Amino acid sequence: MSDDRNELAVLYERDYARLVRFAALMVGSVGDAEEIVQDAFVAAHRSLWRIRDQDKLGAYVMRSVINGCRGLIRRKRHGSHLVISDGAAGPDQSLSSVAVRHDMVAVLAKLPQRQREVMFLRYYLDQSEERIARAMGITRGAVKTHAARAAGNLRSLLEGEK
Amino acid sequence: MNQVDGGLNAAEEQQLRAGIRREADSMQLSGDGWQRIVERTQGRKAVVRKRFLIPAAAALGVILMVVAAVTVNHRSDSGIPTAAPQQSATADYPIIWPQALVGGKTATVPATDDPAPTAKQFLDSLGVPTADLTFAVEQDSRGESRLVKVATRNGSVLGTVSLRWESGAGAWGVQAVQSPRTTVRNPEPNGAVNPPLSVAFRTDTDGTARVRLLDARSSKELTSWSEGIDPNEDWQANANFTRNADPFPGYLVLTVQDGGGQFTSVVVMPLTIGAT
Repeated sequence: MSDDRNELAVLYERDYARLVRFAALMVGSVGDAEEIVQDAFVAAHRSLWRIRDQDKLGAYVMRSVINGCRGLIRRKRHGSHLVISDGAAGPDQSLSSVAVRHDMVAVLAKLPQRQREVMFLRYYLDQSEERIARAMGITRGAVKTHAARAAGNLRSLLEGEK
Repeated sequence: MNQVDGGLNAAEEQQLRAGIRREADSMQLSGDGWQRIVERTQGRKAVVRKRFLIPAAAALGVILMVVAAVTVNHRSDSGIPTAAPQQSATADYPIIWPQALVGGKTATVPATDDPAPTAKQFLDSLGVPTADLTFAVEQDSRGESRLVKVATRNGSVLGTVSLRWESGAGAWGVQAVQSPRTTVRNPEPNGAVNPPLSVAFRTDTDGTARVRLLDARSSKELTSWSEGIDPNEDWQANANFTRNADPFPGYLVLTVQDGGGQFTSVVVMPLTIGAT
């Protein structure tokens, strides 16, 4: 393995699987998600000469993954692409009771794209507001707005399913 | 249900996190991701070295000439001010003169013959980091208008800033910034815009495009819009802003940043806002 790939290999070990899962949550297909993340790593390899810092390299790949997801969703041009488990709704549809089931992701899939991005970045990848803002190309204030709206919409969706 | 700042409380966050992780952890990955990445990066190098290096060197000159010819024709059709060959196209543009601009009307030190610092300051005022950019004065037209080519360290041209010498103020003012990588089809340069703002554009890189409409008198942002974009596709951005009864000078700023947040394109064009 050449030296210029070492940094990428470290990043791969650390982030690849969770980035694929994040992308799959966004686009609904593990196959598409793997392609998106691999594209991001190949793009990062092309940019290694100017991004030597591991943290910046990680941010670059994450942003590329988000852009890849957005591009795929736009090309498919329909609302939700998530392949989700088909669990039947139980009698108690409060947020807490639904969250422990797989179909919480199905509810999240109904959120607008930006709100979903914020939720998955925050609650799956555990990113800070600042990192989410950088990854999405928006301000921290906009992240807060998307998060608050997502929470509100999540409640409404769950109320609607009662 | 208790809410925290309109969001979720700690218990709900924990449940949400658990639900997402459970779904994510159930996904089966192919396991050959690294191998595929290596093949693609190796393949790219091998192809370049073994098959295309010499022919590409020979063909590069021809391709550049063709691309240059096509680009000049294309941009001339688009009605957008272009670089040196059509510098006169910007001659009648009003000067964009943000108050904070160094060398502007509030400057106490006379501006020098070099318009590059003004171009640099203008890009700074737009939020474009300039530390790693190079500024080269491209053309001097009758000592009144100049072009400053702005490029990254690797030679990729970010944009070309058109400036005009304002003898009354004794300083350089910015007229427009154009990019070889981005074409704006609507609105027309120096045209009139009213709410809602509609911007149609195409660029050759993917990443995030940001469109802003600013009041030239105060540099106040009237509206802005941001979106992830794909290369070589037509994009349309619509945004609303408050109508003003009296027309006033403004300018449109369109920037494109790649996946790593690096700016790849900057376009600025003067407009009249609120005119019918």
